[in-house]
Amino acid sequence: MKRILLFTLLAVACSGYADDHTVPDAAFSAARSLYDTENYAAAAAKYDDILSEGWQTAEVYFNRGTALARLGKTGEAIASFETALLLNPRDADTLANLKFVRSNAGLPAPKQTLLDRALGYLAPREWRLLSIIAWWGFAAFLCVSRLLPGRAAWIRNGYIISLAILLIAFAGRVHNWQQVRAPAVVVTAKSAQALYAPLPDATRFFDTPEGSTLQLVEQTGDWLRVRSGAQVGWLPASACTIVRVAQ
Amino acid sequence: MKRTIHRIRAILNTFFLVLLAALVAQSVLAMDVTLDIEPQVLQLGEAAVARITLHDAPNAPPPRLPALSGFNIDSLGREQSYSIVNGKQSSQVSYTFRLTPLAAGDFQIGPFQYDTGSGLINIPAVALQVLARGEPAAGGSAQNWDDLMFAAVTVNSPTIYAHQAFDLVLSLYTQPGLNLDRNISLSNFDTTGLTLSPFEELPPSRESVSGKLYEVRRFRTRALAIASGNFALSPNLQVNLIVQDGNRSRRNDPFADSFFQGFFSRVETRPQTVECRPFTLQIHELPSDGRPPSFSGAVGQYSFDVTAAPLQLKVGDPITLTLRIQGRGNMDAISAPIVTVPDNFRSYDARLIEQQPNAGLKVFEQVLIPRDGSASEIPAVSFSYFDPTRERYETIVRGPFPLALSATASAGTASVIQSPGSPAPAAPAPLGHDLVYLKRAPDHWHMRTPETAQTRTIRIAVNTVPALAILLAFGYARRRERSERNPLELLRRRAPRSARAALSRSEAFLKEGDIHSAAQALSDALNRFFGPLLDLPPGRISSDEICHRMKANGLPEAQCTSLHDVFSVCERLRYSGPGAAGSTAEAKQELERITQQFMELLPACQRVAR
Repeated sequence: MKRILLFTLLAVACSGYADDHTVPDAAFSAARSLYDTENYAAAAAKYDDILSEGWQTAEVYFNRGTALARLGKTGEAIASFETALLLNPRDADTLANLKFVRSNAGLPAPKQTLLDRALGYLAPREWRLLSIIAWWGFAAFLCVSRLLPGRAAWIRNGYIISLAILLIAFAGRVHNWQQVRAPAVVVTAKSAQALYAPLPDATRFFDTPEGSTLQLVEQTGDWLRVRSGAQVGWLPASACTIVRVAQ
Repeated sequence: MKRTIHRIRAILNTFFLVLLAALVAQSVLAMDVTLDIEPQVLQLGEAAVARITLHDAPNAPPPRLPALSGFNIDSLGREQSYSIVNGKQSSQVSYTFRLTPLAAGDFQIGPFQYDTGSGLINIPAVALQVLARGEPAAGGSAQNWDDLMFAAVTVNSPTIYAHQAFDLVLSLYTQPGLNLDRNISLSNFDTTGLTLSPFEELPPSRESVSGKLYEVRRFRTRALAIASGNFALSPNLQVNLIVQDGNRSRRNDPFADSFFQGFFSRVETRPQTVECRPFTLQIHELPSDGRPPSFSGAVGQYSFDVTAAPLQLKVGDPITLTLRIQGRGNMDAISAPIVTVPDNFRSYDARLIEQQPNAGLKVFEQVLIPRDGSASEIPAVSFSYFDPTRERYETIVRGPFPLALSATASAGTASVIQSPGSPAPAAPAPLGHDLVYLKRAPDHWHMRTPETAQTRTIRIAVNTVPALAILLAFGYARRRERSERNPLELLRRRAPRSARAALSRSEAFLKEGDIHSAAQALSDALNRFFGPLLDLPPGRISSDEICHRMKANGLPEAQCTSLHDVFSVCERLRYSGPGAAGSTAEAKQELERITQQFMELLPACQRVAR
């Protein structure tokens, strides 16, 4: 009976993630062939098609960014690499290409605190999984310690450790939430300048060369309020890309 | 020989004399003398202090102030101090004088010369203004507040243009004797069309306005005009007046003596709003006439410099163009000047490499790469700005920068004669870093799907099940702890279940036809139920006691009678012995009846006992 119940639960859980779409391996290979023949624009368009179908994997964003970098579209390439890093933050290839594109364009890497680096080590999905495991572990250890008092010390230690992991995972989730709330914005226009006000003829505030990575403060209509260090200015939404992965 | 020695001695003497004269001249030149008078605006009855400070002249004779009609001048003494900064010693001697005015008017001390003993030093004149002392006011409230205290807004530029940075100063004028605390706040300040930096307070000063003396506190902000038009500025300053508490009753105060009042007098602060005198800020639009094409919004006074390096290079080598803009104005709005280069240059975007807002400096760097040998020079670079002082556009042009290009080794005229059949030379592989190649298709594709009801249920379950488990575990543990603390409660809770178990046993005996054992089991059930329920020891469980207590607890009379019947029949069948209670069939029927009665009474008794 227990096995049947477990099997049913697993089936129900897995059915939520099953899909009836055909995986776009063919389109992925075609894009790669186009890239190999130096048809970077067509390759990037192919990757855009895959993304527009709803597929989202770090590999697609990485390849798209590489094709865009070959085309000289620094801003869009950086935005694509940043999105790939949101899905797979430890990918060495993405980090290397991002560094290469930035250094070629003379752009500094955005400053990150030690806490940001630590909490950005795991992807949002990994933080979510870790928090679920820690939450269940914490609950299990706590229940056992309440139901079986005076048992071995490993139960108490287990629930303290799982609580610590749960708190860390919670910090990671908060960090992810912050990234969703105030995501990075990459300037994709060739010569954009942040303005004092969301008006086309407003006074220019500070330079935002193509590929600059800023932080979104708020969005009003076709204008984005962005932060660069201590300066906060307005950029037209058409001049930049918000780095965001649909949850 | 003697003559030679004499000549050497004469040369040495001359050398030392010249050296001494040079040292004296240097000391005179290095000497710095300053005259400072504070305050420079005063009333009759007040005194000003003049201070003559000699820097690096410890042995100079004491200076004297020239006689000044209308003033008494008294010497207050001499102060000397030494300091060593970075190993360099410096000394400072100050001579102070008290200047007591004898009449109102405008005066001037100096200019005069000070003889240091080794030379004369000119000391510039300092103007003094002495005001006649006004009639003392009868009370603060009786005087017009605008005369006692007012505020004004001023700007440092007569004409202000859009995008111009300028100083905006808020001045608070108060008559001497009016005490304010240090806290001043600003309200009703409509800054439409302006961007303001935080206010900073300037050193206080004194001014004469309409023949009256005022203490002036000034607050300056760096403002930037972001739009043209007329803007009325009339902010309010919230100040706190410090006044003596005159209302305090001192009738029974043992310290109501003038001696103690100095120690124990109370002061209080009274908030006061000071309206600034209306000021209209007129911001002009930048003129369109004469606007150069290279103008990109810089307004102020700037210098512009461009350096290019290296100028002797090979084709394909980078040239770094450093564009340095320094000055005073709207530095934030300044972007890199556009460097227009012909097609034989490859140009990269300029980037900001240095920025010092306080020093008004911005340095940009731009990389140019000559594509071929036809690139003979870097064209001139121009930077335009609008100078609000001269009210016209200025353009600074730097360059052109001539280049000395040499051909690269690969572009040389020499050619390699290739023998037929030999393999073609491989294309030169670029050295250094490049982009990492594409990734393979992922093993698992992830589709972005909206959350369905099923996934939502799973998500909610995943999050809530542990919480429910924790709640249940805590509830169970709490109940168990309560039971451990109160065993009677545990027995009382278990009584119905225990009684039902005994009744089941009784029914089993009844089926076997063992009436005596069945009655014994029924009695056991009654004891197990009522003992813990009413907290009675086994010896005190009797029909009278149980019925009495149940009745007292509110069990209806009919049910009490029924309960009594159960007890009496059970006792009778239990103690009558086998075969003594009539026929077995009757006894069995009777036992079944009272068992049924007891089963029906159980919930009511349990409820009543609770």
